[in-house]
Amino acid sequence: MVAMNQSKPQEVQIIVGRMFREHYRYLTAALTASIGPDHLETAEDAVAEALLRALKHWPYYGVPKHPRAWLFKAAHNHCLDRLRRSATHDKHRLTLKTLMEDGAREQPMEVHDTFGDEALAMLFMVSHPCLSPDSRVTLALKVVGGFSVGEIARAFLIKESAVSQRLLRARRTLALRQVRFEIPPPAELEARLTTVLDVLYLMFTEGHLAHEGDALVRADICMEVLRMVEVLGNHATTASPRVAALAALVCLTTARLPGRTDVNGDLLLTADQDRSKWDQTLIAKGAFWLRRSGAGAGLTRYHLEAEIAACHTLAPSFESCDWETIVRLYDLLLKLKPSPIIALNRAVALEQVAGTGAALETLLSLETHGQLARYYPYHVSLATMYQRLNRPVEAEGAYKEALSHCYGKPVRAHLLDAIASLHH
Amino acid sequence: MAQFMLLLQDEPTDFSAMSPDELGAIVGEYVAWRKRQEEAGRLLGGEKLADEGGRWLTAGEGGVQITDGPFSEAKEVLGGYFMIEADDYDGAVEIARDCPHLKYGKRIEIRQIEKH
Repeated sequence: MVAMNQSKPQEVQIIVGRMFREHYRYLTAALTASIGPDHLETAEDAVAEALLRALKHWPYYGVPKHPRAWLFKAAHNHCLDRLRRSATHDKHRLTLKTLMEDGAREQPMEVHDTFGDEALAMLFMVSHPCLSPDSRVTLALKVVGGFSVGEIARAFLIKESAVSQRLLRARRTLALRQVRFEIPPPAELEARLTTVLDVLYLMFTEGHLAHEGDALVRADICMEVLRMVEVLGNHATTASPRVAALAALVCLTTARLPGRTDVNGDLLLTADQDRSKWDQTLIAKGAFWLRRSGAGAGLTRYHLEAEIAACHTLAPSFESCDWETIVRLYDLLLKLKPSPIIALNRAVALEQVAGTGAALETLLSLETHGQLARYYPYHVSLATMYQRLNRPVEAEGAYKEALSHCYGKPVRAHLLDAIASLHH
Repeated sequence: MAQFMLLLQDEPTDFSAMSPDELGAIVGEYVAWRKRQEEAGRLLGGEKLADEGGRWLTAGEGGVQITDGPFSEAKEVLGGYFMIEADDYDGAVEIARDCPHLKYGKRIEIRQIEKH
């Protein structure tokens, strides 16, 4: 923990600002460990209350010497209050007793600057297979990521009430099924790790590919996923080649985020991006994790997607990408995980290898997949290919189809521009 | 050098919907402002007042009347104070004008302390 008394005011401002989400996620896990997973909501509320108390206190007295211990005490007291008021059941009285013993022990919270086993247990708990994939991701974003209901709603353009509902149902399901708050025992670990990685992958693709919600929150989500995957990749019990592969994928894809939009916040095609804006540190990290992922014999979708990302990110230019390898990797990926969106991405890469005509044919053959009909990037790919083949009427048709399936302002503006340019 | 009280008036803002990030950003602003005063040697003290209305005492017909002060849900409640050092009111205003309380609270009142 940086010594606050030696830092300049601007530095303190940045550090404090960044720490709150970390405090939230760490304390929620620590409290849940203390009072039990069926009191998850109480833990979340207590930590939120503690942060509000900090908002009222710290301005007058400055940052406490041990901020996390201060916050833990405030959250702890709030828990005690809440549980005391509903301490009609024996279960609650037992929890209360544990809480009071914990409080008396005065844990030196400052020692825990690392993620800690409690936070890992939280990640496993919210990724339990008894929850729907959407619920897992939403709950993970809230208690592991430390995002608010509002931020989650804005990132994915869903109603806040819908997010709250999902969280409510998810906590209830976890309580009903009596899911334990722990890193699963060795016998279950491999299987449970699969769902955790699934959740992180979903969080990442939704955070990264969702073109329409709040861009700043979505970038934060990508960094959050990266942090969690790296924790898993570095932890003795969970480190493995597939985790390394996912870490590589996340690093190499996130590295390209800074180049994705132009000065107006409009999306740029990969071919038009300024590659010098890509994050070199993340690219280096991605390469490191990619090497680690080669350690075992297993080949997962994460390995293949990481390799594809590497082809894109490590090439000096769009033209010099090894497109043949990319197409071959997509072929392998499709065998492992048949998916229309992967087929779409393969077709886009195919154009660089086999020409626009062949790629267009492939794209059109995918039309039978209902999923793609509502997926606007599909129609955009069709449109750009029609354009390159000098078929403006069909291009305009495809752009208009794309418009009918997308709602975000930056993308709509981009598409309207494209249609206008067809008429010049 | 003169001394001044900065009285921070609160209004009933609901911060509970804010995310940890948003709250952290606000706290960061406040503690940075406070630190700047501290480092400049201008901060003589500061304390938060409890989140309840307190008590009001007045002399009434039947003796001393004791009533509860305004609840924290009232339109404005004194949240706390700082005691600072400045040359004069202009100086004190300069210090107070970039206090984040002007963004997140209701008002800052400045009163000079008259020494004995």
